Amino acid sequence: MSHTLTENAHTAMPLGELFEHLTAEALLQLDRIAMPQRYPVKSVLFREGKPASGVFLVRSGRVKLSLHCSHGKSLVVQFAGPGEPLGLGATISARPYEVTAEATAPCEVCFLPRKQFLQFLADYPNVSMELVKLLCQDVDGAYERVRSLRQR
Amino acid sequence: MERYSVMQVHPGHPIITEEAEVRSPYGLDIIESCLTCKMREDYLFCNLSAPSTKALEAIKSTAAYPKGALLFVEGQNPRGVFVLCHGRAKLSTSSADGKTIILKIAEPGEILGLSATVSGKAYEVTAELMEPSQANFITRQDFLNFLRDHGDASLRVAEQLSQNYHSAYEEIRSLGLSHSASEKLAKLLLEWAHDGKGKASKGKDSKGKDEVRLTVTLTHEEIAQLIGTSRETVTRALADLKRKQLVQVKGSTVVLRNKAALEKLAGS
Repeated sequence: MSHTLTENAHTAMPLGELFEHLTAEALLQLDRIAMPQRYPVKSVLFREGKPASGVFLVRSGRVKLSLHCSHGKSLVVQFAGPGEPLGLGATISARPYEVTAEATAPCEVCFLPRKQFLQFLADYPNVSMELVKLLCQDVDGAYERVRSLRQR
Repeated sequence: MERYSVMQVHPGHPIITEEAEVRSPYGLDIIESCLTCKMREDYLFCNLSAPSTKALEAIKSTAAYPKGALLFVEGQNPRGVFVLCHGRAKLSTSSADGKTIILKIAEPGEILGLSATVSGKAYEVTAELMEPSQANFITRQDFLNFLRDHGDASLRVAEQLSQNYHSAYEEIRSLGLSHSASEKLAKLLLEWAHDGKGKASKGKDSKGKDEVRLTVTLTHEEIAQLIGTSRETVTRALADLKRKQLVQVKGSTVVLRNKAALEKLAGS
């Protein structure tokens, strides 16, 4: 059983800030490129350091984002839930994923392959604006983290 | 707010006058127009499509600033963004116990005040120019409209943000475990040697061994703020590296004499 984006736009599975204001047409287009996937507990959506293949939009469940510190210790940076797109920055700038994303509860995810996602952004520029807003929040969060680590 | 208005840019009242073309302010080679800027293609944000560049040209106001000028101060309401054309800026914040923490040193082509301008929340850092600089100011409303109308510009901005995100995470990675000041200093020197950007040059010493020369214009105090330690500790750590013959310091030039040993020390 897989849910399409359109049938769930107004249900318990939020599309999140990035996609919630899409027109019906844009949503259909997004639906065309989205690949529904399921992840059991402890499975890995993507791994830190691997080339970014696309964005993972979490529809349900919970995902732990962590990174490896210089000496092998792992540091949890965030828990993500429904409506949150993961791997955005890495996908846009064609960098490796910054973090490892691991399901801590069974997850339903929509995978948006990089090439198609970038084309989607080119076709619907107002999504790029929302993307900028989201990335700003991410950067603020990361700097906040740097601040608190520096003070220890 | 008035306290900080000294270096504020007033759109419509450019600081650069015709006279300035003859006597360029602070010895800077002012780039008057984005349309004819030679650096455009090298700068992440500025490398836009022709229509977007034209639109940008119409909303930006150019100004030159002296060293030490504050573009904006932590806690101020966001007036807009500054695109750094020339020069470098120190982005800093103060910690709960009143210490200054440098989060980043911004290079030409970067947009400063981005996140505050996009979110409408107060600037969360102070941007201080480290050398005479040129910056193009764009008011908040103009910038938001510009991003809304020009998808390619939004994408550029998104790319810069993901770079900032990346460097913040790099830092989290290295801060995640406590290091000695020598380790952190070695890491910082290697980073500078690695990304170059006009600060590093390669050469050979008298015995023909490879060495990297860095021009470091930061004070020990500023380096301390970058790696999260005290001024005294930086001075001590640098003396330690000198004693071990890993680096040599001549004025503002730091010579990395043994890169391999520094890398080992930095744990990379």
